[in-house]
Order: sequence, then C-alpha cells, then structure tokens
Amino acid sequence: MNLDVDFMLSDLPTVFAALPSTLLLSLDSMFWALVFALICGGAQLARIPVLDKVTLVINTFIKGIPLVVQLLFCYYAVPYAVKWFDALVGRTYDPRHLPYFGAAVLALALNFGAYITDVVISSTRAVDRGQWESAYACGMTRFQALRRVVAPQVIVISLPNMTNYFIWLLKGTSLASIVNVTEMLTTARLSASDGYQFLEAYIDAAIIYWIVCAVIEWASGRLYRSAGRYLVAPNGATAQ
Amino acid sequence: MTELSASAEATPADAPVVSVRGLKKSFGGVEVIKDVSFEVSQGQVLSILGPSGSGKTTMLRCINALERPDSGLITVDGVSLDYGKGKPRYRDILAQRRKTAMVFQHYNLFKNKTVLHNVTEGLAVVQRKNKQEAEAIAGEALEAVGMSGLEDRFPMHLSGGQQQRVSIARALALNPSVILFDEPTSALDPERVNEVLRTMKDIASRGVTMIVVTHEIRFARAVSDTVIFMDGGRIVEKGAPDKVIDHPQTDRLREFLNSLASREFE
Amino acid sequence: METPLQILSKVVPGIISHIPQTLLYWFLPSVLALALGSLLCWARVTNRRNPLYWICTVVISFFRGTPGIVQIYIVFFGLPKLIWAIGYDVSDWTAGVYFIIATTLNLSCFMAETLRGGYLALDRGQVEAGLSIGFSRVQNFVHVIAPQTLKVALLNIKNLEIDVLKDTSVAYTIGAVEIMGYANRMIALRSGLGQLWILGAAAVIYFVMCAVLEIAFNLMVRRISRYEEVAR
Repeated sequence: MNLDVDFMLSDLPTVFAALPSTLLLSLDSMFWALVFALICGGAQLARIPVLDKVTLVINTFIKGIPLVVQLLFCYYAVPYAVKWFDALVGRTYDPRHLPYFGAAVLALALNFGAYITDVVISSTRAVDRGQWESAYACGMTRFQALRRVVAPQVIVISLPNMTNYFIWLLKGTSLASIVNVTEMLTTARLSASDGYQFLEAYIDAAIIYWIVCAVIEWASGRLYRSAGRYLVAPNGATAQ
Repeated sequence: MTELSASAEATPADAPVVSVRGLKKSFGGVEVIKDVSFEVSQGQVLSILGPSGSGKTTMLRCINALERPDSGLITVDGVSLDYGKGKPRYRDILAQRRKTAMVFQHYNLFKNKTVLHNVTEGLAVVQRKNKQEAEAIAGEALEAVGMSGLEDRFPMHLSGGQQQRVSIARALALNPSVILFDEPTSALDPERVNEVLRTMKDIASRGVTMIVVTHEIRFARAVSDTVIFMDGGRIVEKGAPDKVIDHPQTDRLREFLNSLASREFE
Repeated sequence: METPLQILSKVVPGIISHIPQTLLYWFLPSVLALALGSLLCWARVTNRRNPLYWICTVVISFFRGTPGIVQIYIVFFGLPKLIWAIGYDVSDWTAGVYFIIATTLNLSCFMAETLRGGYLALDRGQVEAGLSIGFSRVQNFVHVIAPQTLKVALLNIKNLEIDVLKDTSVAYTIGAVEIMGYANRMIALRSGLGQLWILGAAAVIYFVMCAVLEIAFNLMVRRISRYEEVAR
C-alpha cells in the first residue's frame, strides 16, 4: 500500500493551521447553543406556561432532523434572509459577502442546543432540593438562591455531559465543509486536490481531530476533579 | 374532642414571638394538619413530639412558608401571613422567612461554599452586611457551636455532627426571632447526637427562642419550657415538660413514650 | 414558476422511494455493529495485560475521537488501496458498501462502550446466582449476563440507533444515494425558495422515521421491563 508519507508530513502544518477556524466555529456555536439551552431549559424548569411546551416541541423536532439537513437549510436560506434583512434595514444586497459562517453557527447552535437543554434540565434537577430550601430558609429570593447556591453546583454537575457534547460539536463542524465554510476538513481537501492525495490529507485531519478531542477530554476531567472536590466526601460517598 | 390536656399553659407577659392559629394542611386529599393552634413566647423553647405521619414536620415548615398551609394565621414577630385570605404576597413570605431560621434534618449546608461562607452567606446577601461585619458575626456563631478553626473546610469533608453544628451557627448568625429545628439529630450517627444536643442546650440557655421537632425525649424534658404532643394532625397534649412526659394523660401519648427506646443524654 | 405544492408533489414521492435505501444503510451497520461491538466490549472488559485490551482501546478512541465524515472518506479512499495490496481489485464496488463499512466500524466503537457500561452496572449477585444453580459459563452468559447488559444499555443503544439513522444523510458525499442524495439532486435542478421546501420535506420525513424508531425502542424497553416483573 503506497501512502505518500512525505505529503502527509508536509501537509500536516497546512491542515493544522486551520484548527483555529474549527475551534472558533465550535466555540461560537457552543456559546449560542448554551444560550438556547438556558432559555429552553429555564422555561421547562420554571414551568412557564406555553413556553415550556413550545420549547419541548421545537427541541423534539430538531432532534429528529439530521445535522446535514439543518446545515443545508440554513445555507440555502442565507441569500433570502439577507435580502429580506437588507430590504428592512435599507442596505444594498452584496452577493459576494454572504454570512455562510453565521448560517453554520445557527444550524450547529440549534442542533446542539436541543440536546444541551436536556443536560441543563437534568443537572439542575440533580441538585438536592435541600439546597434550595435552606437558601429560602435564610431568606434568599429565588434568584439569589439560584445565583449563589444552585447555579454553581449545576455547572459542576453538568461538566462531563457538556464536554461530551462539545466534543461532538467539534466533530460536527467537519460537516460545515459541505456548506462553504472554511475549517479543517475544507482545508485538507483543498490541499490535496492538486495531487489527488486525498487519503493522506484526510488521515492528517483525522489525527489532528483525535488529538484535540483527547486533550479536551483530559482537561475537562482535571477540571471536574478539582472543581468538584466539594461534591465528594473524602471516603468517596456523595450522599449527605 | 378537646385538643388540650388538663395541664396549665404558661401565660406570656408580652405578645408571643410565634403565634399559629387554625392551621390546616392537606396533601393530595389527605388532611395532614387538622386545625392546630399554639403560641411561643420570647426566649422559650417549645418541643414538638409525635409519631411519624403526625404532621409535626409539615407544621414546622409552615412557619417559614416552606409549606403553604391551606388556611390559618401564622405570625412571627409581628409579620402575619393569613392563608385563609388567598395566596400571601411573595414579599410578605420573604419578610416572614427573614424573621426565622431553620436547622434541617439533613443539614442542607451549601455544598459549594466553605464553612465560613455558609454562615456569612445569609448575612451578606439577605441582611446586606459588609464582609468584615459578616465574618465577625460568623466567627462568634461558629465559636458558640464549637466549630472555630474549621472555617475553610467544605461541608462534605465534615462529619454529620460537625455539619449540623455549622448549620446551627448559620441559623444563629442571622439573629432570627425564632430558630426552627426539624428533627436535627435524626440523621446522625448515635455517637454524634450528643454533641449537637449539647450545642442546642447552650443556645437555649442564651435565651434564643426555639421550636424543636424531635424524638429525643430526654432532651425535650431537660431543655424545653413547653412540650406539645401531636398525633394524626392534631395537638393531643400540651404543657410543661415534666407534666406531659412524666404524667401522660392520654393512651396515645403513653404508647408513644413507651415505644421510644431511651437514649443517654448528658 | 413552480408553487410549493407542485414542488412537493413531485419531490415527496421521490424521497419516499429512497426510504428503503436509507433503512438499508441504517439496518446493516446496526446488526453488524452489535456483533463487532460485543467483541470489542469483551476485549475491553478482560484484564489489562491482554494486548487485545490496548489495541481495542486505541481503535475505539480513534473512532470516537474523529468526525464520522472523515472516517467515511478514509475508508472510501483507503480501503481499496488496502485491498489492492492484498491483491484484489474492488474498483467496481458501489459507494454504499464503503459507507456501510465505515458506519459499522464507527458504530461498533460506540456500541462497545455502551455495552461496557451496561456490563459494569451488572448485579454481581445475579451472575453468582446463575453459576450456583449450575449454569455453564456459556449458559450463564446467554441467560443472565447478556439480557441484563442489554436491558441497562438499551436506552443508550436507542440514542445511538437514532443517530445512525440521521447520519445516513452524509452518505451522499461519497456518492451513495439515499434520501439526501436524491434531495440534493432535486435541489440542484431548481433555484429559488423551492430548495428550502425540498429540504423541509426531507426534514419532516427524517423526523417521522426517527419518531417511529423512538417509539419502537420505548415499547421494547417497556416490554423487557414487564417481563422482569412477571418473572419475579
């Protein structure tokens, strides 16, 4: 089997140089996904009438549609959305600078936001009712109890699941290569198209994804163990 | 059927700190509290005894509005909530909660905060004290319960007895009109029960008004000013501790006292 | 200028006619991955001195740490070369075969970890009870270990299977035709808002398929739990 190892080595830096755009896309999407998840999760936890059912329906729908379909939908919708918006605001429509990156962020954020909503809800429910009650007994308002006692614990509890979804999101950014967004996979494909060394370029990309995911998982594990030290008694018990 | 036994109640000279009138509460169709009334004066210790299911914990939790009664008038140091007239305003509920403090069966210390911050949290956030003042008050409270020196530990790294004492310090520091104790020793290992009971006795001797739901009969007899026995959602006997405990008037109380294994206190 | 209704009436039947293709790309990997995943899981629960444990750990880490589409490309470009090295020519294999192989490998790794979770959660007492009534190791596996592992893992397997169904939508990137392949072809023939309608139709059809799958799995879980009650 003849693998062009020289090309693989020389291409590695080229593909690696696109890692920042992959990370940017991932972090941007994760941020908006969290915003979306906090709104939906908050609505369902606080049992806000109408909104809690509506968000549940939206999330269920999103979870049943492939990411590819969502990405393509946002991609094809971009020209129309921009035209409509430009007409509203009074700008001239410029077909050369369409926000395809933003469209990909939207699709990724909605897709993962739907899943992360469940993490928000289950992590919040995992906080012992007694923590809320003793905060109330001290005279705190619901908001004070949430901000000072419950939310910090929710963040720590949700860390393992959030990391899993973030890694999944990072891998999902590779699909953005289908919709005109420059990230690692697009770069890998472009670098190989001259000499048709696609396999080598893709193996390079795979290696970089692999290492990045492993690092994120390790870092998150360290963070969880140190931040979560107050959750576990020295003998390992987690119950009160 | 009369609720009160034949023993005399103490008549307070001033207005009572806590007054409960006509309290009723149902859970899903089952009436758990069936018209309960009592009062607690300044500096008094009231113990509430009764079998499980008698409604005593629910009643305690109504006093700081962690449970919402179906009807009744609850007054704590001048703040009244009348549940018979519809839902009370959130502002009033907060006001009543800020006159009380609670010590829970499962301690419920804030897991993500150190011992010191657990005690200063209410002072800083609710009473808006500045950091120095809050820490000074917290220091005193922790010393009163014998937990000085452990300020930087997290609750999960303390024994149950230590956690409960910090919980008492947290309540003390808030300087409430009354401290509510919800079976404070029921979740503790037997060796730890005494350290907490001793702490509670100290607190009582400082003149803090306390309402204690407990199974510790000897503690109730030694430390309380008034004892109430609840069963089936009603107050069955009420009076001075030596009267109620040593001379039970009703069969139910007699059975209850016999069924509890005696435990060494002091 | 076509109305949405005209577009839909032309495209929806076409999409539906490609459902069997999609289901094939879902079903074959699922079955194969259950077998391969069990093997990988077994390797992961044996003792650590076994070299198989480490090989499988690395393989699983690779397939879980790299994007699916990259794995598909690597199999698509690399497998022919690999097989060529052994002396066979597979240039007439359809793209679908590569997609199925890549998906099987990917899914096996996730299955392995899910099954491992179910296995570790096993009640040791049950296993010992089986041995104590005289089950051989094989019988114990068939009657005690396997069903209980599957029961615990079933909810996670349900989520994996729904993901596999949705991920069939990536197959068209290497030329394997299923719902998305057809939809993309229809989109390329049109311009204007019709494109969005076609994607919307595809979205609804995927949603319905996923909903059916979810309900089927939920029923299965309920049926298995009910069996447990009766058996007691």
